[in-house]
Amino acid sequence: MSLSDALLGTLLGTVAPIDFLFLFPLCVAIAIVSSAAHRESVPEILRHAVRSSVMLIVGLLAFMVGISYFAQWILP
Amino acid sequence: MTHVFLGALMSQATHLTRRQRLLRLVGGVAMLVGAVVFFQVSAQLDPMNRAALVSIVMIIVGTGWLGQAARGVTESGAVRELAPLPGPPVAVEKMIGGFVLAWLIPGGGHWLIGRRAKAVLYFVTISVTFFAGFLLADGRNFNYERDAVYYLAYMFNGLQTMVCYLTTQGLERNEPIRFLQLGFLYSAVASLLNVVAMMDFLAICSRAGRTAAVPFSEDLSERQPSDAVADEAIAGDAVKGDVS
Repeated sequence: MSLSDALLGTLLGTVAPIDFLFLFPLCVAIAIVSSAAHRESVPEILRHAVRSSVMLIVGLLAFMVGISYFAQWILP
Repeated sequence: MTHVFLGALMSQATHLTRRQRLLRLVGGVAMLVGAVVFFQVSAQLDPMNRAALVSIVMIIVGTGWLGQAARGVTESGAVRELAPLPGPPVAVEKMIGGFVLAWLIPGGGHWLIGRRAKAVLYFVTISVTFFAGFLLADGRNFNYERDAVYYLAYMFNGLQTMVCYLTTQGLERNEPIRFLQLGFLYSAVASLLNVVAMMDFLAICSRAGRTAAVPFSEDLSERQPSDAVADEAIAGDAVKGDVS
């Protein structure tokens, strides 16, 4: 099963959401590394990383909701 | 020339006024509503809905505006050079060596020039993500003959990829692995994150040891004495903020 199958399967209720939840730690890793670039102070990096993680995860959830809305036209 | 290029990469955020934030908020909401309406109208007129791409672009633009309105800053404003960092300049040989080390080991370049805290942060984050992918795919995501396309990303994390490649070549993929795709994704993203760490290393090398924080896009002939005072204040803040 590919990731896109897991995503659409999660949205349609045929796949356990656990597959999709695995993307959240990846969001945290991306947030930490992108926050570390251009910043020197570690506490500042971590503070920014927390904010970025929340924004990324909320964005991902919004993406899921958006896809589920459009999926009714995309899927046969 | 190098620092001009790096300065262009490191654009600072521009703060928005209250009116600009309100405009982006209204514009963002209007864009999202417009995208939904456009999508539905387009779907009614054309069963294949070939104009749906326009809606997707509208959603991307709209959410971008909403994000700027929420944060109150935009990243696409005036490009300015960041303040210089404390410490001696980094020699070219050390810079090249550090870059190669950063390619081999995440955070290696930072460690070499004495920025140990950031080095550890990069190493732990990237390595944990990389090996989480390895575990999710049960070690079956590093076969070059089978999954060569992923090596376009893996190649940016030199040593760890090499170790995984050499140790897992004999593993077969006879039965389905549930999290195989996630494993590919984790390891590939971690390797690409190492590119960010490598570029950050180069940026630090270009900023270290410099004495003046001259705004990047500013004409030097138009500088006032008060600008120099402001530059020194920025440089002082950078010194205070450095703990690594």
